[in-house]
Amino acid sequence: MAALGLAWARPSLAAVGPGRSLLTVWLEGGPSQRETFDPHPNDPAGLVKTSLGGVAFASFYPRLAERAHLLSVIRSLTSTEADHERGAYALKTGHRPEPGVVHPSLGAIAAWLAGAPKVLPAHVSLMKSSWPGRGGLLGPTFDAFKIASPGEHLDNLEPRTAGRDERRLAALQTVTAAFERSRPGAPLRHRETLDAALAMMRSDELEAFKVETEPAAVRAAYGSSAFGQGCLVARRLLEHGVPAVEVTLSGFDTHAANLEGHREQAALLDPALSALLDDLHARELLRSTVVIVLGEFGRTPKINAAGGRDHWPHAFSCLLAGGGLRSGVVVGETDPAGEKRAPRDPVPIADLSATVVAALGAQPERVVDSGEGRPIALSSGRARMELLT
Amino acid sequence: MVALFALVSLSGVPVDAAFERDWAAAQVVPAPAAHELLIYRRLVLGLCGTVPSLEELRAFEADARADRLERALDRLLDDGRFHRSFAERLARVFVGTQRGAFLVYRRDRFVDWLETELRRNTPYDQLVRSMVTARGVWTGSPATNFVTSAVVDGTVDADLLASRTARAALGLRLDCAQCHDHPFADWSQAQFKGLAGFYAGLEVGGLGVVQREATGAAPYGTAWVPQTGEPRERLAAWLTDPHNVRFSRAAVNRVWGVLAGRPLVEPGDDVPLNAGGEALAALANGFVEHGHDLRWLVRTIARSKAYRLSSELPATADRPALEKVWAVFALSPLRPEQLAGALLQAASVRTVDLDSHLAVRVLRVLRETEFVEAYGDSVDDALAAKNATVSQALLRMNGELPHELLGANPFSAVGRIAALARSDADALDAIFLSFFSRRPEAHEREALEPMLAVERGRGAEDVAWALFNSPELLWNH
Repeated sequence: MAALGLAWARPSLAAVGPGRSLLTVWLEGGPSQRETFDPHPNDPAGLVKTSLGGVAFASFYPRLAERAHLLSVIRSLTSTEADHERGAYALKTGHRPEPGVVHPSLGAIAAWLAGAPKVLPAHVSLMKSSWPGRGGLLGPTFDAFKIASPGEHLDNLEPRTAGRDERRLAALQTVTAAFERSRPGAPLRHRETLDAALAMMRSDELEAFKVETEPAAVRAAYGSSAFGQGCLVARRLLEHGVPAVEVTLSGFDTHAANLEGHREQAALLDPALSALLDDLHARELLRSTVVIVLGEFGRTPKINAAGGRDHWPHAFSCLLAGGGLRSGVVVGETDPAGEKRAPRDPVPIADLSATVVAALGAQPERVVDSGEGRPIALSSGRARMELLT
Repeated sequence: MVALFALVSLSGVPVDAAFERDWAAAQVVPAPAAHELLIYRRLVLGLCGTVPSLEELRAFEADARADRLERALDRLLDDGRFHRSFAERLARVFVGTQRGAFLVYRRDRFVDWLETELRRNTPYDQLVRSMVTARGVWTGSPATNFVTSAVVDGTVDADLLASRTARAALGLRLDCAQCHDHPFADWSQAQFKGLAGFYAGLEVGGLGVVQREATGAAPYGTAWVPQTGEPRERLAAWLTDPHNVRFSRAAVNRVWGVLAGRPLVEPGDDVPLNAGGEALAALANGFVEHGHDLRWLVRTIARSKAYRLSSELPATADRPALEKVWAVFALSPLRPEQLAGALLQAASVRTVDLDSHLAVRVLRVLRETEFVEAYGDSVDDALAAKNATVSQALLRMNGELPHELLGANPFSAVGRIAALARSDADALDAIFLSFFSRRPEAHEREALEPMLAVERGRGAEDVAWALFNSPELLWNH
């Protein structure tokens, strides 16, 4: 710990190493492990063999099954949080919620590691999300930039009154200058923020958010759903060097009619995620992108009276792929009878966050200072070495 | 401490003298006094969460009496906007903003309850005692929501309640004994667990909140804990004991923060006994002397010399050093709901308050909520202050709500000003008052009045847009 002072300093780009991006596919509501990536024999959804020897997915995922060799699966995630808000916080940050502090989401950490911001936002949340990733202790500049309808319109990036910008900005300049002049040394950061916003509005890089130029066949492969188009935008953002992208698919909270609900969700997720993996793989982007697919918790092994499954944080699944990670690894196992809570070889959420941070090329235990005198470690867990290259 | 008690005279608390000693000790010369209109703006922002309306400003200006600010303050303390806004700020401190456990926690009931108590001017120590000791059902006994806000997975998280109690009521981060936050603090895990013990055995069921066996121990000042009584009654007595100065210090620090945008000691949930200078100590002593009367506290802060200083400084001044001891009014960005409130108010000539039409109020709440969500509500005000974000700038410049509210139509302030003002000069005055609570300076008039001359409606929209996007609107100053 002699080098503590240095360890707190912001890294130079060289120190960060591979400079990897993070793609989070967030399955909001809490996907059932049994109807996704941890099916058991005789489950009503049925099984499909995958390209990963001996591993089966729920039959709703035939396309993803063909690409499973690109993936690793954790089937023994454990969390303490069975509430959506708290569960989302736990999975996105690797920490339990605590009063008075917001831990940065993994996306915010990836954006922070990437260093100086470029024209495009460094952390983007695509699709409507209840809990987009937050910068927390790293500061609100690392909050996810929210695009609710990716591929359709760019919220707030276009002026509402064309042709009047110049006059408006000149007037703004008049009233800004007077205020700043009489308060020298005040950390207003008004100009910098405004300039960055204007640069973004006027940038050619905004093309990254648009899907019209993509060939029809490519767009079709992702599916015509809003989520499919969101995944396509995600790929384009990663191509443009955005270090943290999150795409949300909501609708997994199947307290009733679990089987039908998951069939419908899979019809959206299976083509989109498969096309996304294909594209990233074909463009060699998978080497520089860490991909995680997860939600706030799993669902009860027992089916309730409404044919649904309830919240189950005790043993659930996620997918990982891409740079810094091994493929073809399966970690943990749940009780086939669904009676035991504890899985074999449990992976606490803190260890998942440590693994992701390590895959991004940083030391999970590295301590960073937000500038408010509250230094924090990037993760409080231990990386799972068997998942890392 | 002896010297401090001697300062408390029958005529009230000499807070100004305490500030002056703090300034002298820091060897700084305070900034000059701010304009009265600006102080009025600070008060409305702090107490009501919006900028003053054009209607209010005109009435204030028309009042020529020397004590117009005093009387404006009295009016604000009886204003429903104050009770609502202040209740929400207190709720953030005590239960946070999380939605919580759906069936047993009703945050809205908790805020409603606080609002009612603030209208009645219930003493602050009683408010906290009600929260800490509440029993019964979260709907019928709304203070209970303090306890049920800590229900996680069907059980009451005693650690979470202890942590919130220490931070909110005492300005103490007892829960961080094992964290990096306070490498030199000497709080132990046992002390934290002792405090949590007062909340042990709490159960939430059909009868509401009931408590079974509990084992509390105060982390310090154990002599102030009554020997007998229910565990949470004993905890409440200890918290609010006049000897427990952390309680009054945390409270006056928070209330200063609500009124001025920044607490005297930052962050507000970490107020060491040696922080805040003589000013904080004098305010805390006076607060106890006056029976934890929140209105006394608001009045005392609002009347203090420090609160009424300008935020302007010459280039040679050391701004951070002066801000540290409040020898200059510290700049702080408006909270997201204040900005939304300012936008909604500036878009209306009349005061948007509890007398407004129900539809206006409902629409206001909906729009404010949506705007705040898009704008991003940071838990950490100090971090938010240093990190203006690009997405916030984009929302202000190009967002749907600003566009709609700043448009010149027959229902908007901008439209009515443009249509009804007798001259371009009058229109510019009214727009400046609506957003900045002041009239334009000569050079601003020279630059901006011609914009109204070509086509007043569009020109007024453009000026309003510029003012809404300016640091003068975005910062409490």
